Amino acid sequence: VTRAPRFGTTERAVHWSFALLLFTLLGSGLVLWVPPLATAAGHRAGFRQAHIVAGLGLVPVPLLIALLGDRRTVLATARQLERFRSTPRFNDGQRLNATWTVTSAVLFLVTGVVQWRWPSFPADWRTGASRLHDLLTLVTIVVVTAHVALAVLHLRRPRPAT
Amino acid sequence: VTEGRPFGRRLFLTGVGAGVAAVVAGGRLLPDIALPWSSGGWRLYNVAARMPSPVGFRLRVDGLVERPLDLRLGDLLALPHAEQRSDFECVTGWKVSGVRWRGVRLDELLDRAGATAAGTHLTFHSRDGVYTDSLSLASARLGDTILATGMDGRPLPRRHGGPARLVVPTMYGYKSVKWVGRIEVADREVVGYWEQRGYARDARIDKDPVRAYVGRRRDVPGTGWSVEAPPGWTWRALPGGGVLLRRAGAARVEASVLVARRADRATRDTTRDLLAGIERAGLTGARYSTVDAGDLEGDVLEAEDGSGQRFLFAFLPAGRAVLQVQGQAPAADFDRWRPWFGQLAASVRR
Repeated sequence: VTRAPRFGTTERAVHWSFALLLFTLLGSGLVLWVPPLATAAGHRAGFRQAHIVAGLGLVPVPLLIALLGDRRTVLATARQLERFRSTPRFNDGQRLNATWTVTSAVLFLVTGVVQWRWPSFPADWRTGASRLHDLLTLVTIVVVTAHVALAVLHLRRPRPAT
Repeated sequence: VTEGRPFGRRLFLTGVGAGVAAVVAGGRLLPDIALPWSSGGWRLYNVAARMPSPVGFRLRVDGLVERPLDLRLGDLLALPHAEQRSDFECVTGWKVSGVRWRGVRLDELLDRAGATAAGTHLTFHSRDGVYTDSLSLASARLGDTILATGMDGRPLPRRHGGPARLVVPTMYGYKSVKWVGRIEVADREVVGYWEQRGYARDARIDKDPVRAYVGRRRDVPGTGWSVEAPPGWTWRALPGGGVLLRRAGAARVEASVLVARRADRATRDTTRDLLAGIERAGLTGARYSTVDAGDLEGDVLEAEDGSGQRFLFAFLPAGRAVLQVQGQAPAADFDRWRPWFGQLAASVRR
């Protein structure tokens, strides 16, 4: 029995480019944030640079891939994800995960830029930005862990393709 | 296939809006997450491959000096130490409040080495072999700029820059060089490690024009320093090391700065001189008292001008000076100056 693939090439490219950038950000970010990791790893400027480059790519790279690829399919999938209780292709947990991912990516970017370009922002904003960035990181670790665990558990039983 | 309302889009817009609002609200809406591995909210920065070992520690003070110093840890620890409580603030928005530092004043080290008049800046070299940064000599001579060897009642831990690190409370953390091994008196400003990577060269936390100028004094009679007034301001030196600042065209004195060369010379006599100078400058009702505000104690002078403008001068034994601005609503101004006054302000405000 052959099944229609659940996601097209563009959708997979969008997903995996985002995943690659996110893991780069989590890795470099934890080194910058967690004191024992920071002192053990050293080379702060390098990790900072990697974090900034990956961070600047997190939103535009998947977006560009979607635009240059099969953008109609990606758009249709996005529509299904943002409308709760519509199709059997996604359940509500998957929709929440997608919503969280996009929202947090934008907020990570905003709070990251405030810290990176610090002379342009008031000290108060920087405090808010750094606290929100930390909070988003903790939630992201939980969400990504759950996402990967569920994906692996359900590898053999994918949901319908449409 | 796409019936139903776009809840996802609404959640996204609400989430982004709430997040941006939380950023603009500063730290008020969000907790400061303390990781279990960092006591007191510290983040530890290390730009080299590894933290330098305390073994073989030496501190050299050289460059434009008459008597270069080459100190072992024991020699450094034998020098007079001062204790102070100050906040440590990073440009990225985290901050550790009320750190108890113990260390040798830069002023003290520079005097021992005999920094010559040709020196305008200090270059600090970290023992990690990578990190450097610089300070103007005037900033370095502020009483609360110290080479710390102790922190929160213990010897300075290696991860915090031990055995010795710089602490510059008036500036962001990247000026407080860790693992200091060499202090070089130079006639030029070296562009520091993070400054080469996009950080501002002006690291002052509070850039208010009046306070800002304090870092640029040279040549006040009797103090060895002087003042370069900020643009649009004129200044007048007072006997005993005070300076009155006046905004060009303004009838009233708007701010004043008292500088004391060294702690041991900040005596009642100099205070009295200052008092006389203030009166000659057209202020009346001046009186002084001594306050003890926890870790700090010092002389405080209060004065008024004819229009009811109030002035408060704080004179700290840390060897620096201080200043205040005044006004019809002094309490609000004191709040503004609180980082500078520290606990002293709270005690004086009444």
